[in-house]
Amino acid sequence: MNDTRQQILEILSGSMSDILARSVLSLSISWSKVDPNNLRHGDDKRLLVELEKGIRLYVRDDALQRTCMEQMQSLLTINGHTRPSPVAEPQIRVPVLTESDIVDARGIGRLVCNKLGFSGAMQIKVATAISELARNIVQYAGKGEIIITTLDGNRRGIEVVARDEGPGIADIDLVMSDRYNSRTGMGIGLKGTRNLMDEFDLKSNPDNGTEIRVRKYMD
Amino acid sequence: MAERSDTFRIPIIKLHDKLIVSIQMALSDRLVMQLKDDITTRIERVNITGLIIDVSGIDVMDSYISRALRDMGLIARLMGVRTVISGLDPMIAMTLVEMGLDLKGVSSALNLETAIELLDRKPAKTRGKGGTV
Amino acid sequence: MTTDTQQLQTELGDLKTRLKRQGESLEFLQIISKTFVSLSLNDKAAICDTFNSMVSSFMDARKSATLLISADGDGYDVVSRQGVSDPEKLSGSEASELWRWVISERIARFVDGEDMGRRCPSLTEVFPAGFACVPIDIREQPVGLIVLADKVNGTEFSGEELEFMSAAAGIVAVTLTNAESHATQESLIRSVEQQAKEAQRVAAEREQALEELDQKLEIIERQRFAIQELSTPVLQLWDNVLALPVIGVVDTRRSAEIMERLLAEITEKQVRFVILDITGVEVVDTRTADHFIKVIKAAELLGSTCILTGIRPAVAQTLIEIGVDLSSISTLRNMQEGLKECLRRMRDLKSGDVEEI
Repeated sequence: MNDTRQQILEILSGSMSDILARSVLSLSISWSKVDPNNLRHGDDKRLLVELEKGIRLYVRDDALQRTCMEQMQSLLTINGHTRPSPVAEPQIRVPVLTESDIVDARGIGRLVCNKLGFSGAMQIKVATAISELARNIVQYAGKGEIIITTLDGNRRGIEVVARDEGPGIADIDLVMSDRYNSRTGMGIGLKGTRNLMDEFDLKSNPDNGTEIRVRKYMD
Repeated sequence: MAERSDTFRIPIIKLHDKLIVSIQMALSDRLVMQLKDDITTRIERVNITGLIIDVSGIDVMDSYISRALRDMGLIARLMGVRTVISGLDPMIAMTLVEMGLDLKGVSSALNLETAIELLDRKPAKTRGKGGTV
Repeated sequence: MTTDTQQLQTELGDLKTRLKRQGESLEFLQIISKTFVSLSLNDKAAICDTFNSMVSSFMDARKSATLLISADGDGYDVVSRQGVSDPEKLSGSEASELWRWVISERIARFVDGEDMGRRCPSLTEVFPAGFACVPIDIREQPVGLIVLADKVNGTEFSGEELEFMSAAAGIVAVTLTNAESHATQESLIRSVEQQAKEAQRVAAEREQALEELDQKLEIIERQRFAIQELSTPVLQLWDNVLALPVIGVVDTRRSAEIMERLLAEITEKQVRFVILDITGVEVVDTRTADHFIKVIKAAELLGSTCILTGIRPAVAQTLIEIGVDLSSISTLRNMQEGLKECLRRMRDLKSGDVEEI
C-alpha cells in the first residue's frame, strides 16, 4: 500500500520538527481539501501549493527549502499524476463454469470490498453486480472468468471484469434499452448492474465473445 | 460447494396454517430452483393459507433471485396462498431499488412475527367498491 | 681619593636604589596583572580607574589621568583621573592636538613645562611642571594614553619610570582587549541566546496557533457532521412511526445517506410506518423525486409503509410538469395528517382489516 501521507511527513520532518511537520501537513490537507492517500488528477498541484506555503514559512534555510520542495514535487507527481492508473494491483481470477461458481465469485468480491473498507451497502452492491455478471456467463456462454482487481490509483475502488468466449451479444443497444426484456432476464440484470456501478463498459462480438468491465469507487 | 448444493435443501417448516421458509445461506441458482419446486409440492400436499419466506440470512439478491422469489409468491397466490417476505436486509433492499427491481405481488414484513400477524388478518378488501371476503 | 671614594659610594647607592626600584617595578607590574586577572574586570572605565590609581600611587604622582580616544575617533575622553580638577581642559581640542602628537611617537616620554606651554598653553595650569605620558596601544593601534604629573618628591620622571609606565600600559592594553573581546563575546552570546529565545517563542506561538487552528477545524468538522445529522434527523414520532423531515437540497450523495440511515433505522427499530416530510425541500427535480421514490420503495421492501408529506405547491407543480409519477405513493398535506393516517392504519391492522396484501 502506498501511504503518501506518511511519505510527506517524512520529507517535512527532514527540515522541521515532527510536531511542526504534522501541523503543516494537516493544514495543507484542510486548505487544499485533498486526501494525499487518494490523489486524483490535479489534486497533487493543489496540495503542493499549500505544502509550499508551509515550507516557505517554517524552513529558514533556502537550500533546505529547495530540497524539501523538490522531494515533495517528485513524490506527489509520481503518486498523483504520471503514475498510471490502475497500477498492476492484486488481482483475483475466478473461473466461472457452473452455477455454483456464481456464489463463489460474489462471495470473493464481497470479501475484497470488505478488506478495502467499503461500506456494507457498497459490498452488497458489488457482490450483486458480480452475481449478475457471473450468471450471464453461465447462462449464455457456459464458460468464462471473473477478474476482480483492486484499484489503488487516483481513486480507490474495485474493478470487475467478466470475460467469456461465448456467442456474444448481437445488439448491445437493444439489450441495454428499456424495451428489452428477455425471457431469462438478461436485460434486467445488465441494466441493474449498470445502475449499481459507477462505470460500466460492455464489449461484445460473435468472434471474441463478451467482455463487461465495471467499476465501483470508494467515495 | 457444488456437491453440497446438489444434496442440500432449504428446510420448509409447517406452522399451523402457514409454511415458513427460512433462508440462512448464500443462494445458488440450483437451491433457488429446488426451493421453488419444494414449495409448490408442499403447498399442494398440505392445507395452508400463508407462506412466509424469511430472507434475513441471504447474502445477495440479484435479478435472478429476486425474480425467483417473486415467482414463488405469484405461484403461491395462484394456488390460494398469500406470501410474505420478511427480514430483508436494508442494504439489500436499497440495492434492489437501485437496480430497478421489485418484489411486486409479494408483501414485505419487518420480521417473522409481523409476517405472521399480517397473514392472520382478514384477506384484503377490494379497494374502492368495498367488496369483502 | 676621598672624593673619588665618596663619588663611587654615591654611584653605588644610586645603583642600589635604581635596582631596588626596578625590582619594585617588576613586582608592581606583577601585582597589576594579577589584579586585573583576579578582578576579571570587563568595564573599560573600571579598568582605567584601577590602573590609574595603581600607577599614580606607585609613581607617587599627585596628578594622573587616563584618556581613551573617543568613539568618533576625533577627541579624547578622560576615563579616569586623580588630582586633576578640571578634566574638560584635558579633553579640549587644543589638548587633543597635543595628545595626538604625543602618542604619534608611540613611546613613553616626558613633556616639560616649556614644550607644553608652546604646544598647549591651556594645559599649563593643570600641569605647570610638565607631565610624563605613555600611549596605550592595542594591536599596534593607539587607543589612548596615561598622563602622570607632579611627583610628590618633586623629582622628574626617570627613563626607568617611563619604561615602567610603558610596561604598565601594555598590561592595561591587554586587559582592555580582553574586556573588549569579552564584551563582544558576551553580546554575541546574548544576541544568539536572544535569537534562540525569540525563535523558540515564535515557533511555540506558531505551533500553538496551528494546534488551535487544528482544534478549530476539528470542531468545525464535528459541527458540520452534527449539522448534517440534524438536517436529516430520523425521529421516532410515535410507537411504530418514524419521521424523516428532509430540509434543503437533496443531491445524490445526500439521498444515499438519507436512504441508508432511514432503512437502517427501520430495521433496527422495526417500525411499521415512516413519514417522509419534504416541507423543507424547496426544489424538486426529476432526480430528487427519483431519490424519494427509491427511499419509499426500499422502505416498503422491508415491510414498512412510507407516507410522503409536505409537498409544496411549487414542488407539486414541477412534479406534474416533469411527469413524475407519484400515484403509487400515499401523499398527505403535512406531518400531522401523516401521523393521523399512520394511526388510522395501525388501528385497522389491530382490528384485523387489511387494505392490501
